[in-house]
Amino acid sequence: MQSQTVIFFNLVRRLVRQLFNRFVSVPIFVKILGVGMIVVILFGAIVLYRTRVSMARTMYSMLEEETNTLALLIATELERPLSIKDYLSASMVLSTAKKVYPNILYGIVEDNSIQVLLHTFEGGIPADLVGVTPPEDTSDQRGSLAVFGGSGGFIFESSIPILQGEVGRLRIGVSDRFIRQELSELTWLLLFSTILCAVLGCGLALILTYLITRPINSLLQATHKISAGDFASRSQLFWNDEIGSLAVAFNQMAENLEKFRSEVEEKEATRQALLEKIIFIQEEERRRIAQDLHDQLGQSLSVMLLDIRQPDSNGNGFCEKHAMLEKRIAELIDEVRQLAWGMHPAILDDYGLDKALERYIATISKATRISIDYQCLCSPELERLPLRTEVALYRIAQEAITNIVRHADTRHASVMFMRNALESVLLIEDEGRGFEPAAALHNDFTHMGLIGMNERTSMLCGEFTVESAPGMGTTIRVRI
Amino acid sequence: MSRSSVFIIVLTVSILVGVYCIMDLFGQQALNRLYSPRKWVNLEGGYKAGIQKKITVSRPDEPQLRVAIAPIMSPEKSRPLYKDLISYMGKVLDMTPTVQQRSSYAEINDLLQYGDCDVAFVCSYPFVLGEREYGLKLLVVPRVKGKTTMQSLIIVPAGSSTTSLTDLRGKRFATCGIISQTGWVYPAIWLMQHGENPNTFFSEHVICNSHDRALWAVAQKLVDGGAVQSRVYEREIQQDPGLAQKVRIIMQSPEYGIAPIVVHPHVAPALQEKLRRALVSMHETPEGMKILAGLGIDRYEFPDYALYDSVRRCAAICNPRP
Repeated sequence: MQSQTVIFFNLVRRLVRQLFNRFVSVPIFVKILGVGMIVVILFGAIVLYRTRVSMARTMYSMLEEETNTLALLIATELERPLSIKDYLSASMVLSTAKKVYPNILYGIVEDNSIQVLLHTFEGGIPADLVGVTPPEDTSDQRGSLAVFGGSGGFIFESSIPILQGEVGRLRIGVSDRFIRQELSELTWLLLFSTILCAVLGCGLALILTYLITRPINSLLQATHKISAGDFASRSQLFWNDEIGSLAVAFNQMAENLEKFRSEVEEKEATRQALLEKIIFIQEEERRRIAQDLHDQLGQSLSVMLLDIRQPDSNGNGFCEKHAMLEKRIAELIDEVRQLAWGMHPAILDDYGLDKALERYIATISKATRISIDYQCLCSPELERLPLRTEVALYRIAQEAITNIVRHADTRHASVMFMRNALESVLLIEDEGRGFEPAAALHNDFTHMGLIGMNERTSMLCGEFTVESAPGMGTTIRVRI
Repeated sequence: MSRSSVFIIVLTVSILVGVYCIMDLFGQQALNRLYSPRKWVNLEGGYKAGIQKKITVSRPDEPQLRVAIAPIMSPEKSRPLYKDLISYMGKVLDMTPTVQQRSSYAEINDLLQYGDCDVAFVCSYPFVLGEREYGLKLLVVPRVKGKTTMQSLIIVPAGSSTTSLTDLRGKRFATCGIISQTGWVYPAIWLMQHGENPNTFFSEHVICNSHDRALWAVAQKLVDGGAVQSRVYEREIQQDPGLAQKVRIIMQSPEYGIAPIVVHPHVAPALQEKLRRALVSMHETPEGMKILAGLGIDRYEFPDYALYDSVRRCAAICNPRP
């Protein structure tokens, strides 16, 4: 039971919160309009209630007084005709009073045995009005008031003795219809006023909303433009209020941002140029070293190998030691070639990226136990990419494959190179353990490989993406 | 504007309109709660045909004492004034008193003449006429402030320059009625004695049907002058002292016999006597004293027919026997 109550209260609380959130999340126009409406309608309702009650009390109090006064006046007028039994004159007094004062519903004259002597009804006296006992205290010269309920409202009946009760008593019934009519008119007036105020409120809300939201919208547009990279965008200044001050501050901030952005861009351009230069120099240096290794050290070792194979002048033959040296030098020549190829594969310069990658992947596959599929989808009629681009893509592939070998802990990977007239895409995938790419790219210098790949791509104005998740493998995509 | 905003606006306006309606309803209810009706009345239907026939309070076989009150004072004033005295008379005779009032002396005299009433409060001149025509009897005579006489007072508005009745020639003159000794008979005879024709002397003879109304007409300057009975004048001044500032007495008549209580000659003499004695001894009982004090009367006395001789002489002039 208790848990159900708690669930119910939580549900209610959530509903209230949701409703509140919906209420406070509406646009400014709705908020202003809502406040205006609430104020106007609540004010109208309270005024209507208070005015009606207050006016009703006052008017009914006046009606009571008026009824008694009327009864007294008519009773005085009736004294003379009734005392001399001039019923015609008495009847005329009654009917004249009813005619002059339309709120009088009826007048009845009864004798002391409650028998009706005169009345103002045309057909006959209603049964409900017959036999109404007079008030006990008839000595009071003022009328005693009784309130009856009728179809159109209250009927105030003042009963007053005529000639101190000597000839009977007068009963005057007065309707409250004019009070109800007045109150009804008042209600309509207040309702009309409320509606008018509400409509005016709507108009004012619209104007106020325009005044408030116009600078805000301008600020918002400027913010969107700056977010999109347009740092020259500024908010328009409208009024010198708080929002105007905000717009001034915003524009100042945008100016500073533009300045900083300009400085950063300059520095970035310098950095890029520097990096490009470094990489260029690095590649040139590698090419030169590889060339030197191949041409000089390799040649020297080859000559040395030939010398060892030839018998010397003394006629000493090819001994076991020579054989060992020959093998050793041959291995050294191979290592030098491997080193030179690793530094800068000449095949890349001579035969292009496709062959270089094929060769490199074959070498790696052979050297490791990882099966790497390679596929190149290039149109044969296309010219070769610039050497700079090919070198960059080759290095990226080299770095990616090195990472797979070192960290992926997998037995299978694939490299795909696709090229058409518009773009070139290099795709390197593995089924290894993967990593968190966002953390790796923005982390410290522990993931320099990825950062280097990214930098190389950006120098070629390309797009570098890494898709990976722990345990889900890694896909590196370079689009140029 | 989003759908959510429209929803919120509609919801808010609906709630507020609801609040408005509820407040209006509260206002209506507060209005209806102001009174708790004693009963519910339908004025549209359930009519009872015509005026119901009055059911007489007394039993038909019960002996009745029919008392008429002449409008010396207005009927509406006379009725409460004589109420206790008439009850007293009924109690003394063990009869149920019924009161009859009419708008003029002449009508009361008609009632007396045709036997439609037994006892009447009349002016002295109608008594003399009734005595002469059908033998009207005096029942008792009141003594007021030691006197059993009264005077006619000729009055004019306080600001008027009139000093004599003759100054009122061609003016409007208010009286109680034609057959009033103090109202019309005295000024008429005075004018005749001064060689004037009372029927043409005034531009207008305003008959007010009671002395207090004639006094009021003069005080309100509705007329230029008038004649009122001294007893009524004194009583009215006593009731409303401010009235004395509004009128001025320019002439006073000689003393005439005071307005008596008369009895129809057909009323049994024993009953007449019983009532007469009861009235004459009224001042000896506390109840009677109280009633007399209310009327401003010292006591009632046995009638002295000679008291009205001067009135009879006036009647001989104004209403000579055919």
